[in-house]
Amino acid sequence: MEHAVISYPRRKKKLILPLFALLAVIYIFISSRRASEYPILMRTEAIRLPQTAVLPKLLQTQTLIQFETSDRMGLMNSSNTTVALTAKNGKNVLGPGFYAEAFPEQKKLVLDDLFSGNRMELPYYGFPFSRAGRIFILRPDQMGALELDKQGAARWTREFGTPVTAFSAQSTLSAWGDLNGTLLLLDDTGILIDIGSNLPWSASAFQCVYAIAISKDQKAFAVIAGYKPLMMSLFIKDGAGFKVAKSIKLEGKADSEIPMVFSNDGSWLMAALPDGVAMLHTKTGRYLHQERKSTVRAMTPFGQSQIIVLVRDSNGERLEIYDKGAEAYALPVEESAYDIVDGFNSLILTEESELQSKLTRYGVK
Amino acid sequence: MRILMGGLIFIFVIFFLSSSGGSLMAEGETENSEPRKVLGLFGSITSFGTAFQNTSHDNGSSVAAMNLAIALSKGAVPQLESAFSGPIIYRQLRGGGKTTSLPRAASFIAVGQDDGFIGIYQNSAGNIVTPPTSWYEKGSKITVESENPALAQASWQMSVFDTNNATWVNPLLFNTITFADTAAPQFISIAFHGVDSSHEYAYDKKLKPTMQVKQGKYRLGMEIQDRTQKGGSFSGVHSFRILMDGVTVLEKKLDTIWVSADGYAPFNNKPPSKNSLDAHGRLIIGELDLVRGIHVLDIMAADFSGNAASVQLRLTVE
Repeated sequence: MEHAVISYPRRKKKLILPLFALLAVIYIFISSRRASEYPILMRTEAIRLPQTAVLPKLLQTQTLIQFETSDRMGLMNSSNTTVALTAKNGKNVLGPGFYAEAFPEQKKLVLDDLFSGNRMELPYYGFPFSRAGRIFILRPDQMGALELDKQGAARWTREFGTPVTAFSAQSTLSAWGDLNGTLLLLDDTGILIDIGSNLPWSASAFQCVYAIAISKDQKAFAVIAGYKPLMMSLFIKDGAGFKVAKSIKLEGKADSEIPMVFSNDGSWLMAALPDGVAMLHTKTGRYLHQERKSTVRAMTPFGQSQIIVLVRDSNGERLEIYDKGAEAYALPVEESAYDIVDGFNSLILTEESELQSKLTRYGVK
Repeated sequence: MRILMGGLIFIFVIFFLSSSGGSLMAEGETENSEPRKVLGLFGSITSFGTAFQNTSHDNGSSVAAMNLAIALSKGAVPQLESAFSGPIIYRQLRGGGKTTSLPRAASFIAVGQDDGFIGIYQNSAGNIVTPPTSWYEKGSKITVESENPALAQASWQMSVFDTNNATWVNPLLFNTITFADTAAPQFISIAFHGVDSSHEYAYDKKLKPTMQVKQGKYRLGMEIQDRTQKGGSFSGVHSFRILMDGVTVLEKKLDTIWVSADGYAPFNNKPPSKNSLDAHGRLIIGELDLVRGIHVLDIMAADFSGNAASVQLRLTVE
């Protein structure tokens, strides 16, 4: 019975303590990585904007300029380089330092330089919009477009064979896709850039283009096109042109514009398909699909690798923050939330109701 | 020991990732729903016709692709019957784009048929309501929701695209609506533009139908309207025939408009469509060789319903 005393060898005690210490260090390390990779959004500012029929009114705030019109609202930063914008009709647009409004009945366009106060009346017939600090005008029949410079002159003009159904632009590239599956990639002078022939969706029963996204560094762009089958294609820069790097045959079908964006670092591509969320790792070509029933109302890149999605389903409306191909966390928002915009170091959420509109700015914790 | 520690770390990391990420799975499938057939009455029409007008744009002009403009009578149900059977391959609502969307002046749906034709129905004053099946049978209703139903009734357009041949097709070839068009088109002006020279000659109905022109090849431009005085239905200018001294030298029909990466153009003109217009907005029909001598030029145009108009010019070619 003397031998019934339980004792652990001293050598084992020595092992357990360092093991726990190591696990604790690993946990702290991973926890700190998680915090840095998935910044938590905090509501920092809510601005209620009454809808009044006034021309753009600039109000300098601490870091952002808030503007309002009868049917547009947004924020731009004080360095006049970033714009956060939402719209309720297609007749006007506010971009970095300019405001353009179309008067289709009079077949003219008014372009205001918001900082010099200069106003130009231009003989253009169409609807202005702004992307990446550039001003485009879309023909009312969606079968033609032009780009304006800040002096109101047309940089280039182009006509399309069928109505434009998808579009994307960055600083020097713009891409236009139409109902018949034609995809035109243009430089900032309107010159067509070679993307090759025999495009992946050319074998589809109908070849409509549903989504285009150009990466911020302009080294890649992606397209979702084709009705039966629906194809997702990634193009990468190849000399002076682009070539197909990856093409995926998607299940299901589309029948309207599909939201699709690259993360700001270009590593992930995300699209809101009718049957779920699709994610493509652009470096490895790894494709992920998350089936879901919710409706994606808007989508924007945020930070380096995050993509934020405004979602509505039976559980209400929320922001879902994805990082590296996985949902990191979700944030409930008002059911009237309408659009989201990456405001550099903050996210701007627009809500609207019959009586008033509200911009809510989310900062990063 | 290293293996044990590595294993523990691996298990820990796997556990962490699985708890923090969303569930990822294989591509989902969308069920194909059975097409739904809807029958109903069709509203009466007050105005109807192919719009082939010039539109001012980018300091120049463009030709509208072939659209059938349909205005329903006041009080009618704002709906059309689909002339096509197939799935909706694209739908668009009116309104401003979000930050990632294009501005949208009109709502439209594109119905794709098995034979490669796409029927496009557009309403610029309301949003087209699509069936949950995303499918239209031929004859089923296409309805619109609008804050201004009276305006929506008068704001329909239909167009047809042939994906097999990459051409717009005259929508009247697919039309199932009965209408009456008894009025002939009216010539407004005719012009001759030198192809290899800068010679230009114009005629309008206020002038005498005699012209002195230089010998050479000319592009023939015409401004012609097919609209009734009372604003009723019209079928649109469809065919042109040019006779020189009784012999047909040029014959064109507006059945298709071909498209390319540079746009589209009627009568085999070079895209974009603004190349099909002269500086005064006249439509370029084709080219004529005018050789020295005195010639009688008969220019005839007919609308889709067969109502014809003609002009006779006496040309002295030097």
